[in-house]
Amino acid sequence: MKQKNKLIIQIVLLIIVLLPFVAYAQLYSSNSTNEYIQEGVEVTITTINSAFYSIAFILEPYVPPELGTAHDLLKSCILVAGMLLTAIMVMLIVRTGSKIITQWAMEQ
Amino acid sequence: MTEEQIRIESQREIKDSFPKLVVYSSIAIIIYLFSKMVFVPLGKNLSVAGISTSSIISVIAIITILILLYSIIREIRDICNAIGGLLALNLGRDGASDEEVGHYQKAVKGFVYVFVVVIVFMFIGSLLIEISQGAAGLLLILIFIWAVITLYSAGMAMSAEIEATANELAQKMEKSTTEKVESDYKI
Repeated sequence: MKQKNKLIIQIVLLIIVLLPFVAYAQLYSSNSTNEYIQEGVEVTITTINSAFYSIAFILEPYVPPELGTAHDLLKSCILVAGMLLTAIMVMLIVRTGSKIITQWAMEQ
Repeated sequence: MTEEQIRIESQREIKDSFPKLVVYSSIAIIIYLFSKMVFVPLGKNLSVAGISTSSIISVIAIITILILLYSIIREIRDICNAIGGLLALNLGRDGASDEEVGHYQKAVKGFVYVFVVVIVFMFIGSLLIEISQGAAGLLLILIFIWAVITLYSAGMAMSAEIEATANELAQKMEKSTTEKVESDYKI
């Protein structure tokens, strides 16, 4: 695969990884004056939280008490996995980017 | 190395390293912004086995930035060597010697390293505060001591070059004065 295509795929993957976290963070800080939008935001937050609590309720018996609550553990795992994925994607982008730049400099 | 070789090598290094430096720096800033504005706020009030999730996220972000910093420093070293070489050619004495080029490179590297490390500390320090304020303070003290030593050695390298240039100028002036006196005496 060409290095430029590889770089574009990696950037798109990074955006896909980051987008849900950015959206989730923005939902909490959203403060719209339009009541329909505000209601929509609240419904979305409630739905996401209900999904978290439902999964945490299923996981609760398998989580050792010394690790904390299942809800905290679930959210923490998702966040840490998101951060790790971001770091890995960034490293891959750096590697591909540096190869492209070296090729360009050699051509020059 | 001849003057032409130094010039070509320096221009090649700048062309190769500068775009890489821009890419590495932008990505380090992106990592910092996303961790500071998205992941760390979401990880607040959460903990795993008594450890705060925001601390774990900060550690991952710091490690990533440090890995990028290693690459950034490598590229900056190449650029500084290139700039030092060009400075020695354009500002230095006649016929740039290896020692002269080395002095200019050391001086440029010293000033730029301190500048870069201070900027990076502003990023890493704010993430380190999430983990431990004491560690951030200790790091600041260590950076200050290192900056003083680096700036001192950079200043010494520049001073050696200025001294050598001044000596060369003094010798030239002495020679021209002697020649003038001799020609006046003959007349």
